[in-house]
Amino acid sequence: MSSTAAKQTCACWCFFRRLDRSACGGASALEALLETQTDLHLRVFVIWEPVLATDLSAPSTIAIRRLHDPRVKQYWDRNRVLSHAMGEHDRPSLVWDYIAVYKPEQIWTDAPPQPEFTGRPVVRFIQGTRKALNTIHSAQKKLN
Amino acid sequence: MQLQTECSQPSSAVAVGSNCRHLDSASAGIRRSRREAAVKRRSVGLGLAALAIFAGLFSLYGGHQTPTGQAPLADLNAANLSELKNEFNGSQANVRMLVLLSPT
Repeated sequence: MSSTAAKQTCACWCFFRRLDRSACGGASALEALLETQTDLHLRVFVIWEPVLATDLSAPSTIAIRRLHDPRVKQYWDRNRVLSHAMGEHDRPSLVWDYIAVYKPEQIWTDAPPQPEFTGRPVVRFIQGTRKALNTIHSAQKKLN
Repeated sequence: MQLQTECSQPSSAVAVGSNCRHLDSASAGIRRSRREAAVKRRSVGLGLAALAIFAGLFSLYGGHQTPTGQAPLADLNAANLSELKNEFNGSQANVRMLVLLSPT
C-alpha cells in the first residue's frame, strides 16, 4: 500500500476512534464507578441526547453497552426535552456531559430537584460523584 | 581484414539497433508494470480507507441494543417525559443519579 493511502486509512480510523473515545469517556467512567458501588437499590437514569454534529441518530449498541450495569436505564432524548426542562434556552445553557446525584426523598416536580452533587464533564467529576455517594450512604447508615 | 571490418560494422549496427528496440520494449514493459502496481496500490489503499470508514460508521451508528438485564433503549419526548419523572419519583427511597451524555 502506498504511504498516502496508509496515512488516509489511518486518519479515517483515528477520526472515528477519537469520536468514539470522546463519546464514551463519560459512559466508561460511569460504568467503572458503578462497578465499585454495592448499593443494589441505586437507580441510574442515563439520557443520551444529540449535541454534536455527528450525533445523527440514537447511540449505537457499542456506546450503549459501555453501560452494562443492570441498575442503569437508558433513554434517547432526540429533542433534548430534559435539557430544556433543566434550563436550556440557548447553546451555552445546554445540559450535557452532566452527572447529578440525588439523595433519597428528593422529589421531581416541574424539573428535577436540586441535586446533592452535580458536575460536568462527567469524566472529571467521577471522583466527586464517588465521594458524594459514599457521603450519602454513610449518612443513611448513621440514620439506620 | 578490411572487408571483414566493413562487413562487421553494419552487422553490429543492425545488432545494436535490434538491441535498442529490445531495450525500449523492455523498459516500456517495466514502466507499464510500475504503473499497474501503482494503480493496484491505490485501489488497495482506497479499499482499506472505505473499509475503515464503514467500520467507523457502523461503530458509531449501527444498532441500538441495550445489554442483557437492562430495559430496551426508551425514546424520551415531551409526551412521555412524565414517565421518566414518575420513575424517578417512584424510586425516591433510593439514591438516584441522572446522567446526560451525547452519543458521539
